[in-house]
Amino acid sequence: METARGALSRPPAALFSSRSLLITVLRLIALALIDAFAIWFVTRLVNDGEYLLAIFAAVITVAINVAFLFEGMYPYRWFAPGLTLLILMIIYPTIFTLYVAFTNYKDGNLLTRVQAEDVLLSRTFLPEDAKTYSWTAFRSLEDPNRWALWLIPTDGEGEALFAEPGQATPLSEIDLGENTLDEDGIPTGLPGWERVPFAKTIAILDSVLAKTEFGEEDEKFMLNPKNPTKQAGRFERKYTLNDDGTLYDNETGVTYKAIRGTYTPVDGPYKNAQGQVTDAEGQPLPVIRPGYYVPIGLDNFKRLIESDKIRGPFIRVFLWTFAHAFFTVFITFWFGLFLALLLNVRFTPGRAVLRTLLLVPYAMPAFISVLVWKGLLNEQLGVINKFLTSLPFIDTGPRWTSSALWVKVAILLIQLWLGFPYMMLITTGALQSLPGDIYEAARVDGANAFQQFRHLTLPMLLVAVGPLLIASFAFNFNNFTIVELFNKGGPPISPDQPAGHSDILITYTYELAFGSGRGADYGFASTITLVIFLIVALITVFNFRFTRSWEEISENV
Amino acid sequence: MKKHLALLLVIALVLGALPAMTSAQETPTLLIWADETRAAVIEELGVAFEEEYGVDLVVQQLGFGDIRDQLRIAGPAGEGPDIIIGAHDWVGELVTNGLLAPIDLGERVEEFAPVAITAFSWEGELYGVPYAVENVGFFYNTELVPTPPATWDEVVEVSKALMEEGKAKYGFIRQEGDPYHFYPIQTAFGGYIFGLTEEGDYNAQDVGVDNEGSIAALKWLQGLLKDGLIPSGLDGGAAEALFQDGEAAMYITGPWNIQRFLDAGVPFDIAPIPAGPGGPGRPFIGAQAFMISAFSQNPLLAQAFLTEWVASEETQLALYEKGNRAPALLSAQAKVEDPYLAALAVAAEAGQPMPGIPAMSAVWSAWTDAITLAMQNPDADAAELAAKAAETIRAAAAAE
Repeated sequence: METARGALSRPPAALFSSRSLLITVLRLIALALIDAFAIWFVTRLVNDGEYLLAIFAAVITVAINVAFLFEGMYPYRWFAPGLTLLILMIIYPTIFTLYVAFTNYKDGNLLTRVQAEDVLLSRTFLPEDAKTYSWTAFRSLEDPNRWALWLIPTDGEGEALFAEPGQATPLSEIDLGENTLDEDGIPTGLPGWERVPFAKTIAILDSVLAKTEFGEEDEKFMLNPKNPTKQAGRFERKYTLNDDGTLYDNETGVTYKAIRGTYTPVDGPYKNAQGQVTDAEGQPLPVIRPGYYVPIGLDNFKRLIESDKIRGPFIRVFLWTFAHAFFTVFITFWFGLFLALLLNVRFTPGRAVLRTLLLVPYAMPAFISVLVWKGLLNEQLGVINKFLTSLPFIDTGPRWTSSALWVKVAILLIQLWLGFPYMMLITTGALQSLPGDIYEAARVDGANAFQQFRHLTLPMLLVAVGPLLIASFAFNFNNFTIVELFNKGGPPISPDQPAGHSDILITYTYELAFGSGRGADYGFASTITLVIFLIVALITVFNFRFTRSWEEISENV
Repeated sequence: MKKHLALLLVIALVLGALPAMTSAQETPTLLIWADETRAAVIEELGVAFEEEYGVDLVVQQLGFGDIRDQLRIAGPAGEGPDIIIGAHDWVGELVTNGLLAPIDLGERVEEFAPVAITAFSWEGELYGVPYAVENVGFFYNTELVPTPPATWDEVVEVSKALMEEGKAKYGFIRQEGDPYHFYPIQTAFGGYIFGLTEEGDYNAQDVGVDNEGSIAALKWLQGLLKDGLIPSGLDGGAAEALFQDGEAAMYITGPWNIQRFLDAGVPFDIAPIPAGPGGPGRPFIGAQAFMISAFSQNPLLAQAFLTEWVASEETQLALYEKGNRAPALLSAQAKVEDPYLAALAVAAEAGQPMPGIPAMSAVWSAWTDAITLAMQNPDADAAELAAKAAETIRAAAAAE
């Protein structure tokens, strides 16, 4: 013990010993690079309003620094990369999902507050009394960073202007010098300025021209953000953000307040009898998009419990999820065991070859097998139904994809195909490890083959594979690939319910969250995910308990 | 002491490294997300734009549908593209989520097919520069059906005759579900999905999937199923295969299948959608466009790319060559000489722009379910299914 501790904690002086000085410096440089990246990354996250992720990134960075700067934390240096990935890819998403379940993160409220404000504050409008102009860029000969615009009214009325930062001069007051106006009314040059051809202005649209304010302080010209190459004018910001977080619409005079993250009109020049803010014609004004997501407490959970439209399919889907996982394990286990027993008989000829062949469905990627089965089970063109209908006593084949019952049969059939080799594999292994002498004893006692199986093989087998069966159940509880690929959870239950007859919880959640046809509702989907997580967690706890109790049994066997 | 020294060294190195990471780029870069077909054209023809204006174009290739899904995640995170290509029915959803920047074409808006401009307009703003328009038409096998039927009654007669004579396995076929391919039939019987406001915009509050015409169209289909005239449980791929092999004589589909049918050598032509008791069958007219991400770091440059490059005849023609859809720019459209696209354009005369309002997402789910269930169970109560779908769509429209 003494020596081991001594070896681990080297004297701190070793940090700067000449032998390891180079390594220390290299390590510090690498650490500095990581820190530089982290600072840049965290700043960006804060700017985007992703505070949760920013905190995680900051904590991880500090932890990495601690691990590399303090000798006592030496072992953590080797854990650092793995732990970082674990936190970022497992723990953070889990906590984020937990958080999202309590928010209204969905279509229309997809952005963070900062992002939504940025989008809205970038919008512009042209005041009623303002004109639009076509523009030509000029560059100062003395100061290459100084730019100006030659502006010609689009409607042809009024004078052209020369707008440089801080002042705008009408054509009549401009000294053209030796230059002339070309056929479009643009001077070929100006004293102290050079005309910049259009093609040269494209690359600096964002970096220079959009950032420059042309003209006088109270009469600024800017390029039209919606049509920058053709138009400039006295565009103004459409919205102003007040200190209390409300948005003021500079064009219409309406004030918007973020209610549950959605900017809703609360005050304006026109109101109707019910107190709603309206436009000049008396039409109630809509909310403005985009909004941002905010915590909404337990509303998603309430919706899960209270809404008939959601709860109805949820219970159905819940039951089928259980049935699907249970029957899958049940049929694959018995079929797999049956084959394993057959192949365990020593005199079966060619059993090595057979065993290998029977593993093929397991070796094939599941999604390929599902697609093959999908083709085989096609109601009109599939081989199975074509064969069945060719028989004299069958008129129509089973409706594999359009009947509530048959679609479940079809999925279990595919599960059987995909799952039996695994069960055969694990039961074969378990069978071969069973001791031979107790069978001899059983035969001496006069037990027949079935009794041997029932009272010796099966109990001993279950001790070995029981935990695997429960793991298999938990896996099939969330077996997204098969259900989604085979029939996308269909056939539909009813047009007013967002679930299909073969949907399991995970595909149902996927449809709610990402199904492009239904509008995304990540908040609600996260709520369901939490429920699924709780169920799987319970199964796992059960599994551990069960494993322990089996171990006790096997010790007594 | 030495520990503090190490900390100081770290801080110094961090501060030293920071400016290097924030140094400005000289040449502005536009990141474009495009699907396979379009990406090739942009890479090929975009070189001229790069050279003329001194900017860099970077094209990332994504699956067409992935572009929309990924934009919602990458856009706000600042990892997204400056420009995407996409279909007009994304507009409602993307704008609602604040992911697109508006565009103002000024007078040049008249150079485009009006239906394409309408399709990409949302609450008075334009959100894309369209490059293609498309719609479905009535594809028929010219060997089996010499003259195209003008009404749905005639379609039934022709189907019966073909099947009785054993010339084809089926006459008219259609794929299951899918409101897009059902709309031409629905409108021919007097149904509709959304009514129009006085200004001609779609009115989300006026839902027509449970009106008499829509129910009649569902019942008509159920009748065909009961009589064994059309097969049930056909998906798009199976239906295309039947038409391509000459086993089915009539099929509603769009320009994306023209090349496939030509390659298969099946003799076919395209006619307008047959009429019904409610008037002509109206296909949805869709459009595809280049759009600008609201989170672009070079929004003005992106605008310039759209007005200077996408809205050019050369680009639009090149995109047509690869994509087989009619250009949206009228001058480019006039230069396309393709009998099939011309026939589809005739079918489009009765068409309507496909609604892009967010309530459409409820149509894609609930109305699809209703059509699917009606076709899967010919004895199901079409009126009840339609009513349930309408209820769901109205609830979605009210929530907007």
